[in-house]
Amino acid sequence: MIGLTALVLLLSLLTASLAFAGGGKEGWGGNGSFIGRYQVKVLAGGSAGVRGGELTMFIQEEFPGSEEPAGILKLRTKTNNDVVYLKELKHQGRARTAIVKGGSFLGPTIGRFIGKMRKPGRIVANVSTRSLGTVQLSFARYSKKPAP
Amino acid sequence: VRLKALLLGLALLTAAIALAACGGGSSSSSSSGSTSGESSKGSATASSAPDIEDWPVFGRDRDNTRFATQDEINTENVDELGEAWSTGLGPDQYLMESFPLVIGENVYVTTSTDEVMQINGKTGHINWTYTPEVDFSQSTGVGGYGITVNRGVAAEDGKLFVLTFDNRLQAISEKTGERLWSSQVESPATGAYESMAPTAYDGKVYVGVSGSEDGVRGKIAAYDAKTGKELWTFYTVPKAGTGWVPKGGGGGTIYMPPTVDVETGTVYVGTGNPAPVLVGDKRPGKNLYTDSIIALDADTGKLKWYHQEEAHDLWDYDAESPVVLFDAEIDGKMTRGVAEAGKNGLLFLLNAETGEDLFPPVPFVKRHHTPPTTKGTLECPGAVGGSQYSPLAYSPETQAVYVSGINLCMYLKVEYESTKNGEKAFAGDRVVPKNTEKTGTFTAVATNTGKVLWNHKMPTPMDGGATASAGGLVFTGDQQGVLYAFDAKTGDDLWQGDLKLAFGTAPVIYSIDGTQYVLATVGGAALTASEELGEIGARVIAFKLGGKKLPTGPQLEG
Repeated sequence: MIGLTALVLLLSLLTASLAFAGGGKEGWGGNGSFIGRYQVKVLAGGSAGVRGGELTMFIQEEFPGSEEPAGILKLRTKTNNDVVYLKELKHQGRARTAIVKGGSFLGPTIGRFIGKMRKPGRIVANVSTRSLGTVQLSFARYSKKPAP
Repeated sequence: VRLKALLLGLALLTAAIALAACGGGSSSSSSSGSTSGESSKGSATASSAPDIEDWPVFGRDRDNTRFATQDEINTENVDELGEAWSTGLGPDQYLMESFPLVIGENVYVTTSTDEVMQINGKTGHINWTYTPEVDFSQSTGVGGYGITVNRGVAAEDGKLFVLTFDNRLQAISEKTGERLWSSQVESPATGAYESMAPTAYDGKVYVGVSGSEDGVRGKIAAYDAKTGKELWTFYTVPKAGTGWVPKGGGGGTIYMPPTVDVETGTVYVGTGNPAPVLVGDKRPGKNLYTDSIIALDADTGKLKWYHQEEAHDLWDYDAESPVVLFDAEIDGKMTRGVAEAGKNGLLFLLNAETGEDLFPPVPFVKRHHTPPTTKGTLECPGAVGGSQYSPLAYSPETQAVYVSGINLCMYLKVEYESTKNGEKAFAGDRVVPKNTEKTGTFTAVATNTGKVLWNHKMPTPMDGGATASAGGLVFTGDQQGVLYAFDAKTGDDLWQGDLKLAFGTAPVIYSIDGTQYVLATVGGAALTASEELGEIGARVIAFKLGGKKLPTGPQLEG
């Protein structure tokens, strides 16, 4: 049911979801270039002092034909887990961008992900939220399977 | 959580909705369940409404009443209630469904990312934070719309017990936050995740798993509190591909902590929906023990009785909120009862010994639903309506339970879809029609008559539950962040404090050095994370008489 409660929220954001449904499918390029699980190396820890983390990139399938790439970014500070959600993935050349949602994929927009794909499975990016400040991270994919 | 965007076009569905148009599909009997292992027999000590200063277990006492015996804050002086302290809970916390415990001077609270914090109850200072390693990638479940919440810890013998999102039961030191042991209670590969607080009693820790939506097989299990070793497991539904459960199906998962009757050694817990959720053709019969209150032997896990609130559910009507035990004089005879409010919008008052109805189920929200079709039907309450995980409160002084309700209808449309693993666990679409009513109810029901004593229509869905006190008060919070104190007997709206952070929990009450505090964890619930009804950020806020005054909320109806 927990996932269930999500659907109500979803409704209120459905319009926004539809707005990028078409272009969103392109996400960060071909799925093989970015879907999977990543180790995170911290280049700059931001104001919250991020020390590490993990990124999972996967395809959300709300219903057949609605597939959209999305990401779950777990960051770890000295004392806290911080989990944020990447939506509205876009790419232009090597640039990879996304909006950052708080609480869930249906939560408020709280920041930006602005990065570059060095090669498939390798990304360097700045992640900015009010709580974290700007964190500079290097992502290295270690599995092409998003599921644990 | 597969919503079809195209159904967004089905806006402006307004229907005249009759109250209590559909009855609950209840049934009751005894039978044996599937169990494994056993544990040693424990001693039982009654602790109903103990005269204590702490809030040491989920519902304060073993009967899970959420009734505080303190009366320093009461109907005469509650208007002097104000903020004592307020503490933020870390970066990017936007969901708060944690029900705190208070032991001695310390408050124990969890976050949506599974941290456990010890906070000084007088000052709000965070003494320590336990931050487990958690794989949150399970949020890729339910179509990628999974939500992580953590509803709190259990405590016993100097240990705290917490369930992490990735299905680990962990014991940590109550004093230092140091981890003592960790046990995997379910494989993440099953799609299961955790959201509930465990229950600890007499050397055992009782846990369930969540995820009915994705066809997870529900279970409740007991673990040894010293070692983390599994003692017994009761599966709430057959294995996929056996009995009534089709391949890819499941259900009967658990979202809130079980309640232990220490006199009879009985564990009571509510179970979730069957899957496929909206399509019933491939799961014949009642689909036991989904949407049910089940009573188990605390030592062995053997089923004593069940009471199904919705037989062959087609609407996602979990029996999700935690069970409350009470003693009521009915027809001149003291009777031990069980209360639970379902997502189908009915309050059930049952005989604790047999599971039979004490009174007909009591509707507390608008109810009207017919089986979903391929063309689409309106369901009231919707899948996020009725009473969610919201705990009831019970006052022995008024002999009433206090019920949080959600009026929110949904449009359902069935789709027949198969996957390589069998039936699709969801198999349909749910949409909240545009302009549909999204309100709440707060209702007092007498446990000795089954009659509604009073009722308020609330301006937002009511998700967090209730808390009562010997001061003649009952507290609840809404989705716009307003905390209410009602006269428990009359329902009079005596005090409001606008915190501007949505409530997904009910307050707890404790005393330190003779000062009574009311403490709330606020900052949004899954239900409203995107509604943007309030400000964002999760906090713990304590109140006391003479504290900082807060603005008030809205004028209520009813």
